[in-house]
Amino acid sequence: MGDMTKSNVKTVKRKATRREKKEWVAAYIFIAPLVIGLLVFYIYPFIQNFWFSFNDVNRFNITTFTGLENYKNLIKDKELFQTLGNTLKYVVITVPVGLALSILIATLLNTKIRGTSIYRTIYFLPSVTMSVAIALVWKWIYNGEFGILNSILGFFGIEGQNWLSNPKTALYMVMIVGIWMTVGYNMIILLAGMQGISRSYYEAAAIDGAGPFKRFFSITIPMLTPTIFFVMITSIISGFQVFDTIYMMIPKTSLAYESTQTLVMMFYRYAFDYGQKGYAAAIAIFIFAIIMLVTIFQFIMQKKWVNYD
Amino acid sequence: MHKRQSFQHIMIHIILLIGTGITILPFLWMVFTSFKTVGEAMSIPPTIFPKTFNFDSYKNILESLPFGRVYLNTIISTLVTVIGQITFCTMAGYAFARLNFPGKNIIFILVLSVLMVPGQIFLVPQYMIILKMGLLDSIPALFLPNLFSAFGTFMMRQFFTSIPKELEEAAMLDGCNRFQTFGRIMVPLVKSGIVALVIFTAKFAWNDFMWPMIVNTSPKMMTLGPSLSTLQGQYITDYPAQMAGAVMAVIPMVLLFFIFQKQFVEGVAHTGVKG
Amino acid sequence: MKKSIKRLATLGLLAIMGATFLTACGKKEENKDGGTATGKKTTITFGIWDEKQRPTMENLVSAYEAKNNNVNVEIQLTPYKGGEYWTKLEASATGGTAPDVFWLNTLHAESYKDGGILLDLTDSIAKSDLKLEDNYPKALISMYQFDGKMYAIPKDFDTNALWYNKAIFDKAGVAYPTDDWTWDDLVATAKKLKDAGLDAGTYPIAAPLDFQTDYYPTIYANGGWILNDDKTETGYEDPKTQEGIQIWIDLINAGLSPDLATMTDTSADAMFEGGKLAMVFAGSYMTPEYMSNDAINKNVNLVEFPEFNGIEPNIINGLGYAVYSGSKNKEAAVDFALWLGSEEAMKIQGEGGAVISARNDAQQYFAATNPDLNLAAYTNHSDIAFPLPVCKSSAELYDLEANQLKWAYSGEKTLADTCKELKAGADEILNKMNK
Repeated sequence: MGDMTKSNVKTVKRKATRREKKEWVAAYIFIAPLVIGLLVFYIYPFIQNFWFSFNDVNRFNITTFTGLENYKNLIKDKELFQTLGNTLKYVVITVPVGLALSILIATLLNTKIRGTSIYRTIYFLPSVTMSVAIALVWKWIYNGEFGILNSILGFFGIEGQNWLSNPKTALYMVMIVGIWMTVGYNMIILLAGMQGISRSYYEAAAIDGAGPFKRFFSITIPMLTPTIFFVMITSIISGFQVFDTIYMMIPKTSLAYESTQTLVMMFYRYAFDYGQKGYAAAIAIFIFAIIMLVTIFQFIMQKKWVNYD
Repeated sequence: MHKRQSFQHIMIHIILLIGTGITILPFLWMVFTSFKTVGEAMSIPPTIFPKTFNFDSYKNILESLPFGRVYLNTIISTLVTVIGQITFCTMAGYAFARLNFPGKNIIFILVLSVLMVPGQIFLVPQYMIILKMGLLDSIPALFLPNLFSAFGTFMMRQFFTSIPKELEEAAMLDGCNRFQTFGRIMVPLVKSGIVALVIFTAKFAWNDFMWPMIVNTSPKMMTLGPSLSTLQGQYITDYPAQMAGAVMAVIPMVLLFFIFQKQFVEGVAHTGVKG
Repeated sequence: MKKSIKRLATLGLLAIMGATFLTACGKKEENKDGGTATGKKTTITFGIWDEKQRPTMENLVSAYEAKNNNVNVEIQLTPYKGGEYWTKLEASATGGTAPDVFWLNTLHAESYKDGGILLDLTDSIAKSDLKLEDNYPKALISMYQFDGKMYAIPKDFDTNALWYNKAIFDKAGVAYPTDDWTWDDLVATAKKLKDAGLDAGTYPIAAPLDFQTDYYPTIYANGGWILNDDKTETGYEDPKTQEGIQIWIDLINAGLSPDLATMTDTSADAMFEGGKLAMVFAGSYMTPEYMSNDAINKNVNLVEFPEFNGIEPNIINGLGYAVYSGSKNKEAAVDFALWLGSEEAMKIQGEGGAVISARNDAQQYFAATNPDLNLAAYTNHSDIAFPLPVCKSSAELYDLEANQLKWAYSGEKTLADTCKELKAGADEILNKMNK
C-alpha cells in the first residue's frame, strides 16, 4: 500500500490528465466484476454481521437492538482473552515455522534433481485431503495408549504421554498438524514465485562465482519477498482463523480443552451451538479488528523489507 | 565440480525424503484403513497393514451415491469456480498492482477485509441471496459466491508487482492499450502464479463442504464432500468408509496437480526467456 | 493466440452463467404452475438426519403415499455430526423454505418454538385419534409440550443399558452381569475382573464423562437433580447430586476404569469395540454401531442399568416429528406428521430396528429385531426413566458442565469444589436465559 498512497495524493491534488482518466476507466473495468461479486456475496453479509453485533439475534435472524451490550459482555468474558492467547500462540509459532519449512522445501525442489514432480505431489497431498480424515489419523498418531508417536519415542527410550489431553502439550500437537497441512500449499506459491525470477540474475551471479548459499540469500530471497509477504499475510490470517482440525481433535471433555480453544471456535460455538448470533457477531468483529490491525502493521512494515522491483 | 554437485543432490534427497516420510505416513495410514473391516479399524492396538484388502467401503460408496452425477457436479462446480476466479482475480490483481485510480487503497482494504472475518458468517446471508435469486438446489448455487475471491486477488496482485515495470512500459510505447498489454504481456508473465491459483481454487472448490450442503438439497445436486458425509450415521463411526471417502476425493486432485505441475515447469522456461 | 483463449474462456463462463440463470428461471415458473393449475399432487418435504434410519423412513413414506395417493413425500437428509442439519434448518427457516415436516430433538425444541417455526399441533392432535396421553410415555410428551401446547409428535426414545463383552468375562472366569444387578454387584464384579488379571490396557468398566448415559441416571436415582422445574437454578451443590457423580469417579480412582485422559484419547465406545472393556454403558442408539462391528458383535450382550439407591436408574430422551409453521402445505404436513405417530407407522419404525418407537404399543418391536440380544433391557423400565433435563441454554450448560467436571474426574480438584464453581457458572447462564 505504501507506494500507492503517494500517487493517490498526487492525483487528488491536481487535475487529472486525460491519460490518467483513461487509466482510471481501465482500472475500474478491471476491478468491476470482482468488486461487484464481493459486494453482493461478502461485503453485504459483512455489514449485516456488523449490524447483528449490536443486537440480540436468535437462531432465525430475528433481531432486538441492544446497543453495545454484546461488546460490553465480550470484554468482560475471560474466555475471549483465553482464546485470544491461544490463537496468538498458534500464529506466532506456526507462521514462522511453516514459512521457513515452505521456503526450504521450495528451494530444494527448485533445484535440478531427479523426482521433483513426485516430491512436489507428495508434499502437496496433505493440503488437498479432507480435514475430517486428517484429524482422525493424527488423533491415532497422538493416542496415549497405542499411538505411533509414543511407540517411536519408546524406541528411543523416551516415555510417551496423552499428547492431546495434556494442557501443556495439546496446543503444540495441534500446531504440528496445522503446519503439516499448510506447508505443501505455501511451497507451491513460493515455487511459483521462484519460477518468476529471471534466470539472467542467476547467470550473472554464477559468472561472479557466487555459491549456492550466496545466490539464495542475495537473489532468491530478495526477489521472492513479494511472494513471501503474501504467504506470510495469508498464513497469519488463516492462523487467526484456525478452527476445524482442532474442533475435531479436542473433545469438550478433554483436559486440554481450555488451552486449545481459538477465537473462531468460540465464535462458532455461540453462532451455531448456542444460537446466540448477536454475541457471535461481536466476536467476529473482534477477530476482524485484531487481524486488521496486524495486517495494517504488516503493510506498513513491508516497506522495510519487501522488494517491489 | 561434478562430484560436488552429486554430493549436494544426495543431501537434498535425504532432506526431502525425511519430509516425504512425515508427509506421507499419515496419508498411507488413511489409505490402509480404507481397506480394513470396521472391526479391524477399531482394533486396539491398531494394525497398520490391513489383514486382508477389503473393498467393501469403496463398493458401498459407489452403490449408495449417484456417484457419476456427484462427480460431474463437483467437476463442473470446480471448473467454473476456477475459470471465474482466475479471470476476475487476474484482472483485479493487475489493476491493484499496476494502475492508479481514485479509491484504490480503500477498495483494496475492503477486498482484504473479506478475509479477516470467520468465513462462517457468510453462510446464512449467502443462502438468502441465492434464495432470492431463485437458485436454491441448482448447479450455479454451488459456485456463484465462490467466483469472487479476495485471496486470489491479493495473490495475483503480488505476482504482478514483482514483474519489472519496463516490460509494460515498452508495450505501451509500442501502441498497445491497457487491455492488450494486460492480455499479451502481463498475463503470460504471471503464468506460474495463475497455475498456483488454479491449484488453490480447485482444491478449495473440490473440498468445499458446508456451502453445498446448506444451499443444495437433492442428492443429484450435491458435490463430493457433502455426499460422502451423508453416508455417516449419527452415531456410527465407520472409519473405513470415512477413509475410503477421503481417498476417493483426493485422487482426482492429485492427478490434476500431477498434470498441472508439468505446466509449472514449462512456465518457468517461458518466463525465464522473456524475463 | 493467448488472447483468443482468454476470450474464449470468458465467453464460456458467461455462457454457462447465462444458461444457468435461464434454466433457473424456467424451473421457478414450473413450480408456480404445479402449485396452482394442476393442484392434484401435493409435495411435502421431510427433513431427517440419520442415514441409518433412511430405509425405515423410506418405508414409512411409501406406506403413507400408498394410502394418500395425492401426496408425494420427499425425504431430505442432512447429516447431524457437525451441526449441518441445524445450520441448514435454521437458514432455510429464516428464508421460509424449511422442510414441511422434520425431526426435532429436545435440545432445540424450546428455542425453535420461541423462534416461531414450530406449528402448534395441539388442536390437530385433539381432533385426531392419536390420544397422546394414553399412547405415549409422559416423559416424552413433556419434552415437546410448552405452556400446555404440543409442538411435535414423539418419534422415538433412547435409554441406557450395560453392555458386556462375553469373551473377556469367559477368559477371567467371572459370571456375566444380570438384569437384577445392583450398583454394588457391578463394582464387585469389576474388582473380580481386575483381580483375575485382564490383558494389558484392558479394563473392567469405563466411567466416561458422559452425562446422559452415565452420571445423570445415577444422580436422579439417588434423588439428586440438575435443573429445577422453573429452570432458574441448578442442583450441582445438592449432596445427593454429588453422590450420583462420585460413584463414577470412584471407579476411576479404584483403577476399575481407565482415567479421563485415556478416555479422551480413545472413547469408551471405541475401547469397548476394540475389545478393551469388559463392560460399558451405552444408549440404545449404539446398538446398530456395536452390531455392525464384526470384531465384537458375536461376543456382546446387555443387561439393565444396575439398581442404585433401590431404583432402576435411567434417563429417557427422544426425538419428535415437528411441522414447519411456514409450510405451504400445512394441512398435508400435519396429516403426515400425525400419521407418523399412528400405530401402523410406529410399528414400521420399530421393526426397522434402528430406534425404539415412542408409542407404548410399539416399543416391543425394537427388542424383537435381534432376539440374540437382551434388548428389552432398554425398554423394561422406560416408564420410570427420568426425562433428560433440558432448557433453551442446554447446549451451553452441557459444555460448561463437561468443562468443570473434568477437573473432578481427573482428580485435580475435589468434586465439591468443582460443583460449587459449576453451579455459580450454570446459574448465571440460566439468569441470562430468563432475562
